[in-house]
Amino acid sequence: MEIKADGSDGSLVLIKQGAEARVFESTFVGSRRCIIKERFSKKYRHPTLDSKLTLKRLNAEARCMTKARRLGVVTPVLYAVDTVMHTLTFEYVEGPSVKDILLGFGLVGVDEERMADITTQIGNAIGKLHDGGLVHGDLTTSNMLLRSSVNQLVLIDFGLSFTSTLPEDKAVDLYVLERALLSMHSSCGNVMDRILAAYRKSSKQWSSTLNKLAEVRQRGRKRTMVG
Amino acid sequence: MKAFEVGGTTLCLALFSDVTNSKELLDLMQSATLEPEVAFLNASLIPDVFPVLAAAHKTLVAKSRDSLTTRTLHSELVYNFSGSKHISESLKRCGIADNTSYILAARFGASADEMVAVEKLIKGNEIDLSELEQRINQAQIQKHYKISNLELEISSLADAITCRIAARDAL
Amino acid sequence: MKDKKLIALGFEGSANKIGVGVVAIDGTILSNPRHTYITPPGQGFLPRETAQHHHQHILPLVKSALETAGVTPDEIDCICYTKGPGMGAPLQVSAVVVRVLSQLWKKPIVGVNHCVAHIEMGRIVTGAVDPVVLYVSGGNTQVIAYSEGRYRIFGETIDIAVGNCLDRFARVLTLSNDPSPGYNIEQLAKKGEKFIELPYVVKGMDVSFSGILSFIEATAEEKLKNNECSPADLCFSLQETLFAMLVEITERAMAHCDKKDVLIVGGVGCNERLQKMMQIMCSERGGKLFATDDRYCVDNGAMIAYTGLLEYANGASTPMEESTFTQRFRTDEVLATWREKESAIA
Repeated sequence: MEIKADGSDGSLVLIKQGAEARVFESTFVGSRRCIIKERFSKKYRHPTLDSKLTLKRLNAEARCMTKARRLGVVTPVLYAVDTVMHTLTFEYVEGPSVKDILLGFGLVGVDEERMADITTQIGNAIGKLHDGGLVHGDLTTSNMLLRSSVNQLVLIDFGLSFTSTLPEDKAVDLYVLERALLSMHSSCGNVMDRILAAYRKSSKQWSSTLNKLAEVRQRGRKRTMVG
Repeated sequence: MKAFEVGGTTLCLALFSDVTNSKELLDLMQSATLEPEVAFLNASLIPDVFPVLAAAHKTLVAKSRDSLTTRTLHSELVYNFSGSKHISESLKRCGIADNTSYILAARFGASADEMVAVEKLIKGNEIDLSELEQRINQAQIQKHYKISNLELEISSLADAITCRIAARDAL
Repeated sequence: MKDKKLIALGFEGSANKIGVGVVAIDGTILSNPRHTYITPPGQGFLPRETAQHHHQHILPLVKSALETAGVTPDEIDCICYTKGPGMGAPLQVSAVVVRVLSQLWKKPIVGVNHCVAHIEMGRIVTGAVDPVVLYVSGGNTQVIAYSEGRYRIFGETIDIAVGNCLDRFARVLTLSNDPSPGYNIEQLAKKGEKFIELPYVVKGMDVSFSGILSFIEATAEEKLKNNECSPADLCFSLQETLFAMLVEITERAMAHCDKKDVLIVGGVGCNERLQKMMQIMCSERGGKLFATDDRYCVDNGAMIAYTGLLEYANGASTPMEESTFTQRFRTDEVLATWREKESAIA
């Protein structure tokens, strides 16, 4: 990494090694605690495809996380984009992921009040994104944080995000979340229903999206799967 | 005058109100005879130093790669602060005009002498940077950066500007 | 009963292959003959003709399977067949034959889920213990992992299967269906040089291939005519794109379930380029890739026999009146009782 030009004080602490990015903690312009997310190349991919995908997702993430804020959905404040080093620098959000909170509920029982608050915030946020023509593309509970001080939902990981007004795209967005909840948090009861209840109140276009969602679910179950 | 550390370089900022010689400053700049070289920013668009530092960071990265879009390091800072791709429009909006009376001066790697020289160039009252926030023209900021009230429910003006500066080149 | 290993006879006929296998409970394959219905270039297989094909070959295959295995009907403990998922008419052929043989030989029936059979066969052949499974074939594209009693689907295609995409692409180029369209694409792809960008659609742990297919269908002819690329380039680009998507969602599932190894099963799993790409990903994560060759990847009777036998050994069989077939039968509908016992032992 180019320590000097990235504006950090020089200390980079690796905090997560993901499938396609390394995440560091650092300091931006001397004063602000920040996250630096560096996308790296995947050796199994054709080099042309790899560099296209890396750049596409870097740009999509920068564009869509800032677009989300314009729609009133909280995401980390973007500080810098480096298309040469394939890094994004953004605000460090102090707080646990929704995944960890729900896993905790799975172990010690659901805190109803907290659950209601979290699912309402999730439904609201997705409704605002979708009405603004933004599809997150990778909605899982690990991509949602709760800012500790104020219990505010913060969405992250916009690398697979894109703009679309099609009910199909929004429905698949919800479907991906539904499946992630099922595979990870089935012990918390029907979290998706709570989220959808909030979504219905938040999104003006809820009816066409939810109709499509029913269709997408059916498609999954009905696929004949020959061979 | 205050110095900030950005990527191993210092950026010195000085804020002036009631400036009377902006036309002269503009002429010096346009004839490239400004000595020392310095960036003049329209301070009514600046609610906080942080977005200026983010723009400075972006400027230094471009400089280190020899990929400045504008002629000089200091014009690049003004261009980057605008969050827009239109160079001349950016310099006009975020730089100074004939009658600008409220100015933020910025210089990279300035020595104490140089900053004294800068302070001498500008005919006006030097005030503390903490006055930035209360002196903004919010309507102008919201219009220029296209910041809706919806966004301001979850964001400060400074953060909204910073996002636009950072995301400008993400295509 | 004497102290002998349990033995099963298995029938697979859910798509264009009819196979009969004889397998012992320890996974020894005593015989596994099969016959494939091959259609002319540019054509897919239709249910009625495929069923006719299976009809013609099923009895000779039973004979040959028993002969090769050197077992008599008496020595068989249960008769297993693919209950689903698959095409109705071809599925019915095995279901009917199994009912007749069951009454003739007085042997219990075990209905088997085709997808689960691929997984269990892959596990016993490769020795993979608890892998993330990529199941890729003409009708299926799923990323599966075992969790709490079932094989759960973490990612899958939201439209067409990867094999279906390859088959239909082969039809656009009118490649031969012998031995399979996918095999011929793989061979041609080795000669490809130019990478053509195709739609790449990953949504969470799911993928979508329909966009690629319509893109190719819309542009292939034009590109070939204008000499922009060769058929080999198209095969190459298609494989690179499809497989990168599959490896990506497999890796996402691995991260999600915290598992280290991958098992690839299903007909498309024989593809060496897919195996190579998956291998690179696995070794970067410090895990292992388990893959099988076309004897086991491709639909066969032994996998049905073996999986049926696992169920049978755990006390399950299918009563005559329930020995039906179903075109839709999700992997996660099956309660994998034998896995529970395994993990209890482990």
